[in-house]
Amino acid sequence: MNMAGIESFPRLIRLDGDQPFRDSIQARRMSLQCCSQCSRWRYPVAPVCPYCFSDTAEWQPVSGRAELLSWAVFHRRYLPAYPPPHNVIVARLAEGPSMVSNLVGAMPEEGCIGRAIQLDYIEDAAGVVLPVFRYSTA
Amino acid sequence: MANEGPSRIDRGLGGAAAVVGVGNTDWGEDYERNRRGEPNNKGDSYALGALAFRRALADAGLAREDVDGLIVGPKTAYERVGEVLGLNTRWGGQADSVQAVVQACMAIHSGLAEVVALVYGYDQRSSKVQYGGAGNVSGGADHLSYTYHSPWGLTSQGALYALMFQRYKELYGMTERDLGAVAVAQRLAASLNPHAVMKQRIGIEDYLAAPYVCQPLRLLDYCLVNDGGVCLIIAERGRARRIAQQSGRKPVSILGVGRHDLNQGATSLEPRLLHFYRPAQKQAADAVCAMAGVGPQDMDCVQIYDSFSCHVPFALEGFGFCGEGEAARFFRDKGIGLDGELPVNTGGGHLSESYMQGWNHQIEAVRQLRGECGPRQVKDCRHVQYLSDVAGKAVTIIYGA
Repeated sequence: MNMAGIESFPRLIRLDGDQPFRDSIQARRMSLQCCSQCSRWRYPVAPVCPYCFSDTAEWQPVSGRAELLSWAVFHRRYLPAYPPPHNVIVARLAEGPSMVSNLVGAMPEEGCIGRAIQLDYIEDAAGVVLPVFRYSTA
Repeated sequence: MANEGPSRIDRGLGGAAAVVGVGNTDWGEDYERNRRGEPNNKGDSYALGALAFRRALADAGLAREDVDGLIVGPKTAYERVGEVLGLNTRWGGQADSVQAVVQACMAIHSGLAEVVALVYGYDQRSSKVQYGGAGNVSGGADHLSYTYHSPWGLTSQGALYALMFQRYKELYGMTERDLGAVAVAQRLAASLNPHAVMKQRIGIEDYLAAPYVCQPLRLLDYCLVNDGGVCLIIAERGRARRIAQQSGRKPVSILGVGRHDLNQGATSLEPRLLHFYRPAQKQAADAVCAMAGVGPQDMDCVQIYDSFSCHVPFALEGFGFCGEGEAARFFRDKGIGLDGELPVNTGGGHLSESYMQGWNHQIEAVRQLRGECGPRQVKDCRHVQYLSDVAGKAVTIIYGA
C-alpha cells in the first residue's frame, strides 16, 4: 500500500476536548489522556474516566509500542484518498487502549495478529499528520 | 451497586404477549424493479410501511381501530407514520428491531397498550443509501465506531466485522471456506422462499469465487440492500387468543426477551475484538432462558441478525449453542441448513431474503411457528430464538407456538 503522496486524508471528527490529541499528532508525539486518579489511559477523548469516573486527566505521550490486534484489506474503493488494496489495522497500545490505524511498510498477512508494531507518522499533501504503525524491528 | 442479573426480571413479561399478525412487502419483485433501473412501485419508506401494516392487519383479521399502540422503525418519523396510517394510539414510540418487540411486550405487560402495531419501512435501494464511504465521514458522533476512524479509511460496518472475523479466524482456525457454509445454507433456504430477493442457489465454490469487499469478507458475506416494509401486530395474551379464534391463525407467544449491552470501549473496538461481545450475549441468553423456561437445546431453529455472515458463528457461540471457537465444527457436524440439526435463518436472512434490519427475522420466526413455510418449513417447529448482536447491543427473543 503506497500511502505517500496522498492529497488529503479524511479529517478526524471533532470531539469536545480533543485539541491536545490533534496537536500532539501534528507534533509527531501522539498523546492520550491518562487518568490522574487511577492511571488508566483512554481513547478517544472523554470528559471522565470510564473506569473510576474521575474528571481529571493528564495528556501524556504514548510509548509507541503496540500489538497488532486485527487487520482487514479493502478491495473496493470507499474513499478517494484510499484506492484498493487498502489496509486497516487495530493496534493495541502498550498503554491499554486500542486504535484503528494503517500498517505501512508491508501489507498485513495471514498470521500477523499478535505481532509487535511501532507507532510512526505520515503526512498528506496539506501537511496534516496521521499516526500509523509499522512492524517493530527490535 | 451490584448488577443482580436475570433473577430480578419480572418473569410475568414472558408469555405476556403474542404475535397475532405479520405482513411484508414484495421484496423480490421490488428488487427486480430496482435492478432494471426503476423505482419500486409502492413508494417511499412510509408507503412501504403502510403496505406491510395493511397486510398484517388483514393477516390478524383486525381493523385499524383495534390498534392502540404504535412503534415505528428507525428510518421513519413517528408522528408521520401515525398520520399516514391514521392511527391515534394511547401509547407509542420509535425503535429498531432490537428493541421494538421488547418495548411492545413492556407496554402490553404494564397495561399501557393492548394491541401494538410495529411498523418498519425503508426505501434504502431506491434512495441509494450508501453504507460506508464519503457520506459517512462527517457522520458525527451518533455512531462513533463507524465514523471516528475515517482518517485511516475505515467508514463501513463491513470493515468492523472483517476486523472481527480476521481475529476470530487467526485465534480459532475457522477458514473462509468454513464461513462460506453460512452464505450457501441461507441461499438454499431463500431459494424455497417466495418472498426472497436472491433465489439462485450457490455452492461453496461460487462463494469462494466471489470478490472480497473487505478481506476476509466477500460479496456473499454481505447483506443485501433492498427496499421493503415489515409489520408485526402484537397483542396481550388473552386478547391474542380471542383474535386468533376469529382469524384462524395460531398466535405466537413471546416467551422471553433478554438484553445486555457492552458500551465501554465501543469506539476503540475493545468489546468487539477482545471479547467478540460474548459477555453481553451470555447475559442476554441467561436472561431469556430464565424468563422463557427453555434453552438452546429446545430450539427448533434460530434466526440470527446477519448484516454479515460472521454474525452467525459469533452468535451461536455467544448465546450458548456451541462452545468458544467451535462454530466451524458445529457447521460441519450438526449443520445450520434446513436439513441440519439447527436450521439458521430459514428464510434466507439478510444475506439472501431481505435486509430489513432484523425485522424480517421476526416474521420468519412467526411463520415457522405457525407452520406456514411450505418447502422451507422446519418440522414440528415449537420454539424459535432470535439472536442479535449489533455493535454490542445483544438482544434475544424466544418465540413459542
